[in-house]
Amino acid sequence: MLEPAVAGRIERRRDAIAWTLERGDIFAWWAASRTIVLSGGLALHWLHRPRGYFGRHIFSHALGPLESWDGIWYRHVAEHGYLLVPGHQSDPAFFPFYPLLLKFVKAVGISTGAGGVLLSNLLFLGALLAFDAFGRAVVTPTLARRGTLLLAVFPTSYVCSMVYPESLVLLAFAFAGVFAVRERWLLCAAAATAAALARPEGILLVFPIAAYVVPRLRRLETNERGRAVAAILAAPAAAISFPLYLGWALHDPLAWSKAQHAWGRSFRLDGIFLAVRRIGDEVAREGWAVRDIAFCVVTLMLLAAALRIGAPRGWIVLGALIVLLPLGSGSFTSDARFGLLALPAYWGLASLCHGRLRFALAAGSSAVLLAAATVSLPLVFP
Amino acid sequence: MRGVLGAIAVPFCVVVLGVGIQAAAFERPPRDALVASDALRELFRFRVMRATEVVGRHPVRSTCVQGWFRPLHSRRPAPGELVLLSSGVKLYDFGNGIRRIGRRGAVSRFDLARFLLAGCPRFMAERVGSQLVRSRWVDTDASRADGVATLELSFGDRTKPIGLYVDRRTYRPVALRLAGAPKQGWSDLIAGGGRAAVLRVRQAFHLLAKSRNNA
Repeated sequence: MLEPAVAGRIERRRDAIAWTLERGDIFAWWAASRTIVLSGGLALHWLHRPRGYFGRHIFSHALGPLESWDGIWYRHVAEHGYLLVPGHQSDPAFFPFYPLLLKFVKAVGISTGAGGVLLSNLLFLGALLAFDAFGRAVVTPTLARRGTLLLAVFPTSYVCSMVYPESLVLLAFAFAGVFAVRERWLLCAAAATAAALARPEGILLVFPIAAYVVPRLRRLETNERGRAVAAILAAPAAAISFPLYLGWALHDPLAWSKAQHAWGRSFRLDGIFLAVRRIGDEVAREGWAVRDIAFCVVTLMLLAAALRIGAPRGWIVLGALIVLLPLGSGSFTSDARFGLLALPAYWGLASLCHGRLRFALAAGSSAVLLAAATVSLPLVFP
Repeated sequence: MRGVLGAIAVPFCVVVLGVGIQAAAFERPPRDALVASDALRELFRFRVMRATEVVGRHPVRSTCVQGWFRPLHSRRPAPGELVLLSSGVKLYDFGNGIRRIGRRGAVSRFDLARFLLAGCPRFMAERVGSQLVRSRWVDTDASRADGVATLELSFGDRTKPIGLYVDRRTYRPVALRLAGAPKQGWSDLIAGGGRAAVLRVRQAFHLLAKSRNNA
């Protein structure tokens, strides 16, 4: 009686080892890239420079730089909940799922700062593994793996080691893709829910999921069809729950958009044209704007490359909207960070890196830029 | 039919669960903080405040006008507050601290109290708002001022707070009390003011450029 159970256990262990070994390079690249970011953060802590916008309290502890900027707000939400303060930058601008996880981390006894950094790094590892699985289902295994490794060292991926929700959203996006391809609609709905509760971009999952569901609708059984449609609607439903909660807690369902306004993000129809027209002013006022503009353009070009190799169009639409919609506020601010979530861009980048030399060059320069982006944290908002 | 039910039921559950989890996980802000936030919204509506201040023995009338002004020797307009007292004293703040026209350096505690009691709406709102964002501590107590049912919003130094009295129904500012920092004092407030009041203050400060957004 015992023998088959023991044999099964040994086999499972062997499978797990094989699974891990097969993804050994992902683990290695994750560890290497996170070492770069953590070393950059520690260098800032030791050197106390560049000073930039950081006060002493941020430099004073080892992970301070990685807990800074929006990380302060996410921790604030985790510790105090939401409150809209008119005329001031306030926390309803930040979606709830990541601070919710920070609360759990705190309940375990880890501070929200250090816990947030740990959480983001682990979620990023999960995101890389899920993205690799997703890539294998939609592009060639080589492209999928190379895309995953390039994501691991992508210059803006330093935010995936900060108290920011980007790694959580990447993980949710990748899982939504994996489950949509496998037609596991309820799991896909769960992933879409997580994404839409973590960042407003999550709602854009409507496009890639609908792109999978609509062509299959006729051949699906009635129950399956219902679940598939539910997967499409899950992200908007989750996003709606946030203003409903704010309506209950703050008596103001529009608190999110009012808070966004105070953060300088009020959207208008001609916002994109305004953003393009103001490029000169924006660069003159804040030289770092060049970074956001460049990443926006690069992301769009990489998405075009991904389209050429046959990456799913729904995901291309999502990627393009992720970098174009924020321009509706008339500014490129933070567009580099937003573009990090455009998953097909990494397949596009991988497709441009034929051969080992090109790939090594792309990965090497990405790693250098990743280090530079980390140590310039005090100078510019991610 | 079952398919349609599934398509509706799952998103509905997502909405209900989403709201429920957020409600269970996050602290609801204290009632005081919500009231303070509403009062703040009302304060931000005004650009002009008229007051009758009492610091020491003699009452003084004041008018505070705020907006964008072009200070002398400056090319760019700057946001700020101008306070004109009936005694002729002129106080202002363009973000570099409160100053008095005709005197160099920082103002005396007496002048500081006068400036605070003028109840410049945005100046007050900035302080209440910063405190709300930072610590969520702003006490609100039911009270009466000038025969009106009011709420007193206490902020600033906990031992010697500033009390802003607002109408309990409309949240319109009614009075201001300094409990000792920088001096003890009281002022009755009238929010808003006509064009004449704005002009009078601007003329007193010799400001030639037009201010923006003045009420």
